[in-house]
Amino acid sequence: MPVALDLKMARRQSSVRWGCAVVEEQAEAISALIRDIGESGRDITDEELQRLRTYLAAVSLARPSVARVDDGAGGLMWEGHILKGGDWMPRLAAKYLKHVMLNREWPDGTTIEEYAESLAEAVQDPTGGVYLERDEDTWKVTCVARSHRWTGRHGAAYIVVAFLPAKDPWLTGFQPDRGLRYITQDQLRTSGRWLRRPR
Amino acid sequence: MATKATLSEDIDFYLRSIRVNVEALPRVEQRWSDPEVPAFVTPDDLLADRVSFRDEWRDLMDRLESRLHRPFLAGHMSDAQADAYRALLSLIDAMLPLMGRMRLKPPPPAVLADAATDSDARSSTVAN
Repeated sequence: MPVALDLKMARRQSSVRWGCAVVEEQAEAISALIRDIGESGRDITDEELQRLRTYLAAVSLARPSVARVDDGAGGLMWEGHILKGGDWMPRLAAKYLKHVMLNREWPDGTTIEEYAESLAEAVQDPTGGVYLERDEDTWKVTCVARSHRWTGRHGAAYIVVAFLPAKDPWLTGFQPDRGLRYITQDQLRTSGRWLRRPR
Repeated sequence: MATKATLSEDIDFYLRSIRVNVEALPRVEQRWSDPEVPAFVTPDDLLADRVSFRDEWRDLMDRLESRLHRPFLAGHMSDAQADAYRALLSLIDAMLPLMGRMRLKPPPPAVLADAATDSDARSSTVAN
């Protein structure tokens, strides 16, 4: 089956699963929470932070979405298809190919399920940090936690997982070479701030 | 502690992977402005694609500095690797206007300046 048809089916299935009232209600509540914290500049409470982490890990990360195939992954075989840079494919697979298979930021042999698990762990890690900033006129949340056992040959000390909660998609998950400085290097430009600093 | 062989392999890896990403930039820019997208792609997917590309690009430029520029300055590159690195920097230099349009982080100014200084020094050595 062509990749595009797979994606159409995934979208249809996801709209049934993700279109339910409870999830939509949660999405709106999280979006409102981030907007409130971002616009007011107030601190996030422990309960709100827990709610945010749970939502991002359990709902945003799991929601089917698509991303473009990285140009470096062009020519690779994935589930019976030869990939072409710029084509669309499920986001999790696209990011797995880029950061695990090509860049080797995770240990060799890491499966796509383990990659997903490591991102969810990072988001929910209570010692991890949560950073909030504006990007393309919307609020972006970046979760960061130590990579520990997930550090690959070209990996680093931290995993970052980025989200646009108001739009709902998760963006990417990788191991930035500069660690925490990667997060804060544009702090002045984006007026970003830590909602919770990593411990 | 990385061995000399491992360091050299890593330099080759980053020379290749960063070059692939830089060479792809004109195609990426074209995709971003292409109004024709498959029906299953939502506006949020397009936004996520741009934002995540910029995030990953920032890390790529950090790696350019730490994984290539530092070994270059420290004299840890072979002649062939150093030549490939200079060629990569020339390519990046030529892409700076495009990077500006796409709002991508440019390499640190020191990286391009050091490369220019090195290039001048080499020209002067050759001339002498």
